Amino acid sequence: MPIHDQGYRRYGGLKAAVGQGWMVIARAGIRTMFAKRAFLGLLLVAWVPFLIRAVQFYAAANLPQAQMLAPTAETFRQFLEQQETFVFFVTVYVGAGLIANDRRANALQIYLSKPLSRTEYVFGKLAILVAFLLLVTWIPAIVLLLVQIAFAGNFTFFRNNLFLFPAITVFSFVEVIMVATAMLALSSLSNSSRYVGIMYAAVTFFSSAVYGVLYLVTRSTSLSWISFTANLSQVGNVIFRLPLKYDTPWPVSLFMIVVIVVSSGFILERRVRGVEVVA
Amino acid sequence: MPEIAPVVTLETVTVMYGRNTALREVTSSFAAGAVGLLGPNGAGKSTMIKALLGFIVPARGRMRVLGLDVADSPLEIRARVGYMPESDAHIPGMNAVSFVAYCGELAGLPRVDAMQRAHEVLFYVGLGEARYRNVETYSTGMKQRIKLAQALVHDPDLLFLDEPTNGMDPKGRDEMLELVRDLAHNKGVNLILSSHLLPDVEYTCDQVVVLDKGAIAAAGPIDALKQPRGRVFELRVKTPTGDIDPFLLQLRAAGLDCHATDEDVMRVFVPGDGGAQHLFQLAAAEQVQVRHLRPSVPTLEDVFAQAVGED
Amino acid sequence: MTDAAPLAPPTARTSPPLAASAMRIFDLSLGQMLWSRRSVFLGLLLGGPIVIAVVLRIIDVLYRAGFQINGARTGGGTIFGLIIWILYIRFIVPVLGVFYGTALIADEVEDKTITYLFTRPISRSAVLLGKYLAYLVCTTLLVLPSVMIVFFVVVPTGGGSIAQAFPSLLTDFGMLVAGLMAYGAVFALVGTRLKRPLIVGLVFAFGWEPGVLFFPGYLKRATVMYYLQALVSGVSRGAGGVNQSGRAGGYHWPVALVRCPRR
Repeated sequence: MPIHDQGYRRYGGLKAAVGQGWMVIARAGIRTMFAKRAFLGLLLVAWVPFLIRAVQFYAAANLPQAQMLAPTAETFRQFLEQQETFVFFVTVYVGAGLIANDRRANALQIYLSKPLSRTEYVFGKLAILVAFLLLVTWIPAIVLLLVQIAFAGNFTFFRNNLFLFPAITVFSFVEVIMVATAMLALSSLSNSSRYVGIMYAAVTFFSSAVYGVLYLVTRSTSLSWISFTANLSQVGNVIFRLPLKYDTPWPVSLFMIVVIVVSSGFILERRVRGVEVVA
Repeated sequence: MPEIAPVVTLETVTVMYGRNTALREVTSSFAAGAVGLLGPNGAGKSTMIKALLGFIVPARGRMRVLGLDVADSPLEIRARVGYMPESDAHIPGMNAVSFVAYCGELAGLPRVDAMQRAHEVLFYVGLGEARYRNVETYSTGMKQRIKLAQALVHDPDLLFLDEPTNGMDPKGRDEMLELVRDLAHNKGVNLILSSHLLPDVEYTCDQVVVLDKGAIAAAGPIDALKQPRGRVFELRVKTPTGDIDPFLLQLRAAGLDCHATDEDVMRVFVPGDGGAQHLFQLAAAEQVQVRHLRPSVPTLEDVFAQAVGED
Repeated sequence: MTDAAPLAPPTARTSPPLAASAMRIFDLSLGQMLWSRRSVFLGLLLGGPIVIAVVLRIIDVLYRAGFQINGARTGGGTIFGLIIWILYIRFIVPVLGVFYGTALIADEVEDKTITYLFTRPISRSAVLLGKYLAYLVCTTLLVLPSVMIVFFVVVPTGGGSIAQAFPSLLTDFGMLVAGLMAYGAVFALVGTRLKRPLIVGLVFAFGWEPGVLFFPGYLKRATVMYYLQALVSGVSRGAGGVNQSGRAGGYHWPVALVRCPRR
């Protein structure tokens, strides 16, 4: 018998309690994405509008000639609206492969053979996408608010628009949750991240295109509930206390967003399983 | 000496895939140590393992793993078991050491410990030199080893190995079987090895559960099952017509079990004490010449053939 | 030892000609493309215009008020042209191009099945040609029924005549096929050359293509859309509210991708 067996050893250390696996998934996913140069480039570009707005705030606060650039509550709404383009690309880049790649590599049975529930798995994957989406929506918007205070050297704007912090937070989270759950649900439907990305683009743009045609023919915006982006926009304006863009009642738009999130949850419940049974 | 509790028990478990029954009223237990789950393809071996892991919810019945009810405590069970799936499976975009450490973390190991054990386990399964390579570039044999490593990293009390030697070359297969045997006999890991390969199970396991068409066909310690409740003979005959089938029917009608082997002899199981005398009588009655008759030692193959029959 | 008979020289086998090889690949790929779940998904997408057409027809039958675009009363032919332009040319055709075009070779690489093709006596050009033709036939077969149904449902609204509008249907269909050919070729190139063609494909289809039309000068000539526009009869699109710069009565397509038309 050898003095010291260098082979397999039993583990005598502590193990974390069940229920923390989602954090491991989220951490690993975020690390993996940060290791991709192309993605870092995309993130940098996504922060360019922030820089432009910061310059605008600086000019408005320090140059009397640039008073017309002074921010209003609508400026923050517009900023978040501009970020929707980056939300789309980050969603496709990060989200398309989140479950599809695992399905392709049969990784689900590895994940679910660990002390990890299906909900935790989905939550972990969702956390990856949510984190990056907040990085291009909520975080720059909040930092922008802080930048405004810093450049102005007073809290006047902040005090006069106290609702802005909760408005930015609520809208960012509504947007991010809707987009992330929808993408994750689509990702669970295919083994190819490429098709998932195209499906996401198709569904998003198609709903807007259909609404566009109906608008041109009917000249009424009451059918805007057909478009995902229009629903988000309508709810966004309510949150930011701005005039509504469409004739669709905002509770209908909110209902459509809830329908998307619930349907996505249903699809995920059906598709994320340790075994795929083809009866 | 107190009897050691079984690591897995199943009570009248039925698993359905749509209208197809994959497991039919299965009641069985798996003792501690190494147990082979033997059966032809489609017998329900993988289904049983997946049901024990909680991937499939049975239509009826109860299952307990390491004393815990599968329906009530699936996560607690999975924290204490390791699973090596049959098909290729990995986390995409990771090298071997990251993959195994990640699996360790998912199983609850602290990050530093998971990384340390990942290195150790990869050396143990023979992938030490290739541990920084992306898993997607691995050969089939290496993929089998990495699957074993991820199943081992959190030091499970019970390992489910589903066809662990699939697609491996002879040398790799021998090494894999050696690892499995070492885990079971020297490292104190309980394991259930699902396989359709009799020599794999015979080499690594002490006990066997034979599954056929979704039902238990035989179960018990391999040595006990191999104990003769009769005698086994190697037999080669020549018939007047050249057709051996009528003679085989005659043997089976007389209660003798016979099956072909790779060579031109058949193995005949003669129950009770009748032995060779009985065989000669039957051959004489059918005017069949006995060209070769030799007493043989019962093997697991005989047990398997008796249990599942020959189709 | 006796003298062995000399071995007969092996029969000389020549590889099949390009056309025959391409047809084999075409047969194989067409079956795979048509009967896949992806085609079912796209079939659902192509059902969208049909639903719109049916809704418009119902509105027309129920209210008999006709439709107006930019204040002018509009016939079914113009609405059909509008649907062809906004939904098919600007949306469905690029999506079909990205969907199938990027996958022509990339799918074989991902599934590791390209080895089977390249170990046969088939030239690479035959593989590409066969797959491209299969893409073209598959997408045409998907689009054709949808366009036909929309045509027959929409054109009669507002007193439009199917017989009069039929030549424009043929023109529109020719334009759709030309679009499918062009986008398919572009995205096949993207899918073959790039390891991750998705983002590039989407940026090209939904960013570059509609976005560049905003800019004056020669830049717009680097889009497929520009040349497709050149095929459009200016009268029908102009009357239908879509002019050569891609504007549809104050509503601009690229804007609609992010912001929908407002009240």
